[in-house]
Amino acid sequence: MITRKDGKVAYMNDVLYVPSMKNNLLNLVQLLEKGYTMNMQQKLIEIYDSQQRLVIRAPLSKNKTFKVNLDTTEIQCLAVANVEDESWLWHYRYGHLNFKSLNQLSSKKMVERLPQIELPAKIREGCVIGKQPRKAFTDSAPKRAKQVLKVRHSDLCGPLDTPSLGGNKYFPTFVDEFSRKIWVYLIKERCFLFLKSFVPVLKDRLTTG
Amino acid sequence: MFSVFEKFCARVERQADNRLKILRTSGGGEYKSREFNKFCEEKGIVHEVTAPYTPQHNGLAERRNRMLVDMTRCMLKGKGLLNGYWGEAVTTAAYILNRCPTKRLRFVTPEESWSGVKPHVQHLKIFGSICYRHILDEKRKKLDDKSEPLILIGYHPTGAYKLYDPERQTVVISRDVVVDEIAS
Repeated sequence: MITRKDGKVAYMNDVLYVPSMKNNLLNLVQLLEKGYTMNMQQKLIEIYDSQQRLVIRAPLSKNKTFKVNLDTTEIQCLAVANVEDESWLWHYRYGHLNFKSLNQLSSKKMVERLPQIELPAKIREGCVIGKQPRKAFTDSAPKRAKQVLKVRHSDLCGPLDTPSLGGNKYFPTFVDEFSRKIWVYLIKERCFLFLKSFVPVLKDRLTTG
Repeated sequence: MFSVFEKFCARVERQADNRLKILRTSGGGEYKSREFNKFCEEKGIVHEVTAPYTPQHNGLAERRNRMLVDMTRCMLKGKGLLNGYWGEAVTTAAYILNRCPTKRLRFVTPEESWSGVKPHVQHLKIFGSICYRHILDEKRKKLDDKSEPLILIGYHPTGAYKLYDPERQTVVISRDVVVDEIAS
């Protein structure tokens, strides 16, 4: 895809284009074979596509070539797509080996007869089913509480094998997220009602310090 | 377990022309039999047993186990094979992992490190692919099928493929194979 000077786009297909090279050569005969038409006069070349739209206009330069600055906006290269497909094939042959290792095998020539491996952009389902780990538990979660008592974390610990001297088997803990202060209560039975009875106590404790 | 270790020991010592010196295990019951200890003593092998419930000290073996199981799972799911094929898949996974990079060895595969020969991988095909095995002239009549579909389940040291015949439930080895890697 080429952007013309007037901003419109034109296409040239099936070309061997190396983006990193300073100069790329266009063969006029091959363009002719693809249905392009050319008009050469007064040291100027004009190339039209099959619909008679002007693609290139270029002056003759000193080394007897027509020099043209092409603004390629999009390059769709089919050969690279094939390399990627082959990379996937080798990924499967190699028992779904990760692409980093596969790339290392080919780039460092660690084994014979392995072609160049391209790193793919996407992942595929089979690998995720086979080897997805749990996500890392990083402590990147933002702190929610800006002051004491806003957010509390709680858990119930127990039952403990040996009852305490007072005959308790469980202890719920409350942690204040902001200050990380801990409160512990001992209870005998696991029940859902205990929270209700503790909240006033907790508030009381907090206000009195 | 003991008989497996005995076989392994004999094989690697002969192949590497060297002696096994230290064996590190997790100290599970399978490594504790009397004959096992006797074998190690006679051979002079130091049997390092890790502290109980400390698999971290057996990290190399544990990590390899995970790599093997991960790869096996991928290979089975990738082709939608039944879990019963795990034995073949694990064997093939080990074969493949010996041709993979490792962190410790710099740019050398385990296979090359062991044997000194750079392995080639041209023959690798996708595990579980449908293969068409050529039927030998002697084993068929003129108008019989010239090939039969089988499942690829591994590699033979000679460069042939190990194939499974689900109908007859047998494993056959053949080098005259056309592999269809795309169909599943």
